[in-house]
Amino acid sequence: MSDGNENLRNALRALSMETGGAQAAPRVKSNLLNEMRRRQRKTLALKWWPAVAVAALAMGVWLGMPKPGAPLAPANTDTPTQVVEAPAAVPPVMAQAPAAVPVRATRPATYTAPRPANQLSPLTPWYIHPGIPEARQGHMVYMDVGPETARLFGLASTGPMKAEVFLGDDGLARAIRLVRTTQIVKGE
Amino acid sequence: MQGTIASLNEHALLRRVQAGEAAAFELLYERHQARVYRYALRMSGSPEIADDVVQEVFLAVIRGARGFDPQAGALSSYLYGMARHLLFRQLGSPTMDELEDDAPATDANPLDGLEQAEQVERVRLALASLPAHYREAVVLCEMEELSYAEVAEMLGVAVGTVRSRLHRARAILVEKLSEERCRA
Repeated sequence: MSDGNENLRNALRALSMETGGAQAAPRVKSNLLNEMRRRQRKTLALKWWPAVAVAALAMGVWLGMPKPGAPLAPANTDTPTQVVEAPAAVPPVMAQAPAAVPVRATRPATYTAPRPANQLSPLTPWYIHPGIPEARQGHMVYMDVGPETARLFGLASTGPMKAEVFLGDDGLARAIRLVRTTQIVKGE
Repeated sequence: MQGTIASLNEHALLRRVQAGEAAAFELLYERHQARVYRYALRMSGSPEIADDVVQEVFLAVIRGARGFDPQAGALSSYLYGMARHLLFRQLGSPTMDELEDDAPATDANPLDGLEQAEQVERVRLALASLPAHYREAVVLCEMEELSYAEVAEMLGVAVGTVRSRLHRARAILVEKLSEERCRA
């Protein structure tokens, strides 16, 4: 190799050493990390969106269902059959009953003619919780309940039973009476 | 965590970057940014262009490094390749005339008797005036000190082509420096 090329090579090495420690400006790294985080957030949102949608759907379904833990809850066969304006005189609420939830009357009436008051056994008070106000006005809901619900009230039954539930004007159940079909027939 | 990441090979590291792991990206960036930056700086002579090239190259990595095949070559070659593509887009691709321009070999020593600082400055100017493909051969082989095989893989040409371009580049540089010496 000629001296000229050797000098050139040395000069190139010297030039190389001048820029040997050169690095990109810090703002480049900062911009790239910002982009990285932006993409990370986007990925996370895309990843969790279906789960959030399912949770929202489940929450909506749950809100539309009767609350669990209520005495009538296990009786999936319970079907309200009629809503009748109840008389003003209802047994006063007493304080030691288990917690319960409102009973909803959603089905149309299927039978009529409630029995005269003098043929009825007394309603069993049914307390939601000690702080609930007394109900003096409300509606009587006539419904069929399943054997599971009957058992909750201490009655052994193999089939559905008729029940009358007194709902206060606030929609909360205050009292219940379970009746055998034969008694209803006899009463009528 | 950082220790675990540091022990990963480049492909595994790249997968973690693509999965959104910021620590993996920082490690990959620290490993490669300086070389990409120096290459872009020496090719363009502009720190601003070099910064832009580094940013674009690593943005492409964050966005998935499409086209990278670990079986086909090292990640560094892939990054150089992207930087090269971006640079040629900015600097303009060389024409066939430039590639075929065969400079005469010369034994003249145009740097003889000059102070080193002056030698370096003259070489810098002469290098900047070289056609891009020849400048690239000088930057990669002489300044980055990559082997002919590495440069050939990166440029997608035969080793002989790299050798030939480097030879021509040196000859053109000497010629330009001689002209400059004569003018001075």
